[in-house]
Formats: sequence, C-alpha cells, structure tokens
Amino acid sequence: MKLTIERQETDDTVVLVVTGDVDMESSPKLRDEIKKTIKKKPTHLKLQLTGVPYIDSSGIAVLIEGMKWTQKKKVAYALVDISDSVRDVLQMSKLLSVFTVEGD
Amino acid sequence: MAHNMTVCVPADPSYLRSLRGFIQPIYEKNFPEDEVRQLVLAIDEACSNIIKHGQSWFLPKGTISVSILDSKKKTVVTVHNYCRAKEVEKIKPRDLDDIKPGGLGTHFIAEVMDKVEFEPCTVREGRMALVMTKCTSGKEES
Repeated sequence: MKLTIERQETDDTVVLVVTGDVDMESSPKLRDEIKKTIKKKPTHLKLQLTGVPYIDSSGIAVLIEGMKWTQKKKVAYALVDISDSVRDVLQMSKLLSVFTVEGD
Repeated sequence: MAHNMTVCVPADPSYLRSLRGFIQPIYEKNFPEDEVRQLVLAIDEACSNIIKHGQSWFLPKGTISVSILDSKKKTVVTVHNYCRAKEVEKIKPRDLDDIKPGGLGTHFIAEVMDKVEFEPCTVREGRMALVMTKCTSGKEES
C-alpha cells in the first residue's frame, strides 16, 4: 500500500495522518514531513498510524528520530491509534513504552 | 508436501512492496496472522539489508533472489548472495537498551525466526546465503 501523509492542523497541534506501508522506500517521505512540521514549532505533533498495515526497521527509525527531534525542540510528540502491525513491531523492538501512545 | 519457490526482484527499495505481496499469501495457510506479519517483516528486512549495505553490487543482474521451501511443519527461507564470508561475524543484533534509529533489522530477523544461519553461496565463491527457518510449532524440528 503506497504511503500518503495528510496534515491536519489546529492552533497548536499538527496531526500527520499516515496511511500505507512505511518501509525503506517510503520512510524518507515520513522523515521529511516530520522534519518540516517540527520547523514550524507546533506545541504538539501527533502521528496517527491507524492506516499503517506495514512498518519496518527504517520506519521505526523515523519514529525514533521524530521523538529525538521533538524532545530537542520541546514539542510534545505522540503516536495515535497505532495499528496492530505497528504495535507488534514496537513491541518486538521493546520501544512501545518509550513512545507516548494515545488511543486504542 | 513441501513447496519450493524462488522469487527474484531488482535490488531497489521500490520492489520490496511487491516482494511482500508475493510472500504473504504463502504463509497465510500455515501460520497465524501475527506470525505471517512477522515472517514478512523478517524476509523484507533481510532484503533491505542487502540494498542498504550496498551488497546488490554483487548480485547477478542486480537482483535479490529469495528461495522459500514451505511445508506444513516449517518454512526455510534462503536469501542468496547475502554478504561476504568475512562479514558474517559482524552481523549481530544491536543492544535494544540503546534507543537510537537504525540497526533493528537483524534483531527482527533473530526474534522472528527459530534458526538463522549462513551457508556458502552456491552461485558465487566467497559469498554467503542467509538461511532462516521458522517452524509452525515455534520449535526447531529435529
């Protein structure tokens, strides 16, 4: 499933609605979008991952980079409504507790 | 009855999705949904590693070749031409307590598969194939 990223903005929060596979091919697109968003200094950045049927180690690397960049810029960062696939891979990486995860 | 199949894709990230699409239905018959996802992940990571570390230069016609021997009891996946013999020692999962981007692929492979080993590649001297085995019972067969 090809990756699309929809941006939803309110006053202080940006939600990136990520849909599709996040793999070696598509993860640079997500990285660029996160980077671009952080430059605008929102108070909150949320990645909605309900529509991600597949994520690999390069995708997880981007989620970690996002966490590190937001920590530096003091932006609150959360993963929202993560899919079973994303949850599995985060669990395998022992990273589930490292991220702020919102929703089911 | 065991089924043997080989798939070749160009060593390019844009073909990984097609590779996953080929692999997934093979395992839906004998493995539960979560294990199917994990098997697809492990094989994808192995192929991504070839691309990432520039190993595709060594591949015949720049293609990644994956063979799957699938039976009711286990699946044996061979990723041909994976690395140089002298590089095998360096291929190890990293420490997960060190939270940093990258280096998780080998960990996923080790976590998902029951057995991971390297064998001399039959098509090119000095090269190794990555051989990964997963049993349906979750235990290595004797």
